[in-house]
Amino acid sequence: MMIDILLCIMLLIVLGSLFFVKRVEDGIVLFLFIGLVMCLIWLRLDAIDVALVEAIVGTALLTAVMLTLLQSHAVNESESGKPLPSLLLYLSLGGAGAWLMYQIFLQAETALGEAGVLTFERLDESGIEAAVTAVLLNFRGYDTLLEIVVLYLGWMCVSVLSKDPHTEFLYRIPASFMRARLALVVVPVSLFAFYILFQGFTSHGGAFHAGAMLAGAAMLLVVSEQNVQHRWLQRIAPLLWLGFGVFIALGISGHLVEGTFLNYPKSMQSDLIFFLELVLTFSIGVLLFKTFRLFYQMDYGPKASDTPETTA
Amino acid sequence: MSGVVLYFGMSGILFVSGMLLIALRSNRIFKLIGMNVMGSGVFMLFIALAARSEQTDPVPHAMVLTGIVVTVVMTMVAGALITKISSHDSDVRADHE
Repeated sequence: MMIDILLCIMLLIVLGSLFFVKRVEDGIVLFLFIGLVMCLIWLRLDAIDVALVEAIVGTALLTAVMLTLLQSHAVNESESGKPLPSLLLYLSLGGAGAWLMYQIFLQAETALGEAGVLTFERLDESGIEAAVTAVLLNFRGYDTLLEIVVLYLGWMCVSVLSKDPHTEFLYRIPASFMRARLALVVVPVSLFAFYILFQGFTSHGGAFHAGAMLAGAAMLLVVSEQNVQHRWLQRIAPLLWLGFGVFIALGISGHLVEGTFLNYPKSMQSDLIFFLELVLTFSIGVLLFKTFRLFYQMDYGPKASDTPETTA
Repeated sequence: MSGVVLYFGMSGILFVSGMLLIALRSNRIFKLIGMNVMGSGVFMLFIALAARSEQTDPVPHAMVLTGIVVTVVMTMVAGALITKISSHDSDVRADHE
């Protein structure tokens, strides 16, 4: 209980200071801090899978994306300072939202929900021991399939928005210094990604955690090297569509064999899900990495971060 | 159990303060952070509800996992849009000067 109160106080302090910090850099660091505190809170609430994804995807990857945004002109946008006339509206809306959430909480039953009961009852049929992985890849397979589609859509949107990337980077680290040390980080991170993937079948982990870690390792390589036109970037390109293709193919074969889309054939269910997770890991990794790379190389215009704060 | 109630209240605070960040900060990157904070509030509501029962419910956990990944994609697309808009704005400003 003490820990819970402490975590909430930390969160409140950071949330409060988000309203007052002037520089965008400070805001991003506070955002990183919120993510870290959230990870601990998920652990306290017994949501280990969520804590893992929050740490890898929601905090680390997102902060990397936010930091690349520091190159854009948005950093120098002046704060107008005057509160918006709609503040009262927002406050009352927020109050109504909080009240609504409270009502939901009061009326929610303390017992396990119907879907949760079903999940535990029929966990044996899914072919996987871990409940969360079973829900993601078997019971609610549609969700995960469409989640991959969302990832593709995001990548497409960013690639349309960043049409002509220029290779003039603002944050350069000497390649000779980094190259020797990179292997010390990238190799263990990649290995750990596969450890997390295989853990997903018995306890906590899965394709999204592992894919994001692989993407992180690749991001580190790109950020630290001056010349990013490496061969390996082209070689991983076919992996991009592999996950989606395999997912759809499995869904259709399930339709042919079992009569329902995404209903895996019973006899080889575990093996199929294992294969799907492995392919998805690579696909998610390549997708997240490609989107980040587009971001990193986006045309931020001449001297985006060099211009001092112009008098508005 | 009482810890869960605490986090439940926290989820409302997160949601509302994310909303206020969007309303009060005029810098677009802070607005983006506000959107993420709002999302965290919703996730916390889900996880707090899942933690109420004796056996933790895996279905809301899976939904939040999906939600986090979608939030990341949303942030990336919004970030690309912000970059485009602000570079356009600075071009317009440069033309006026």
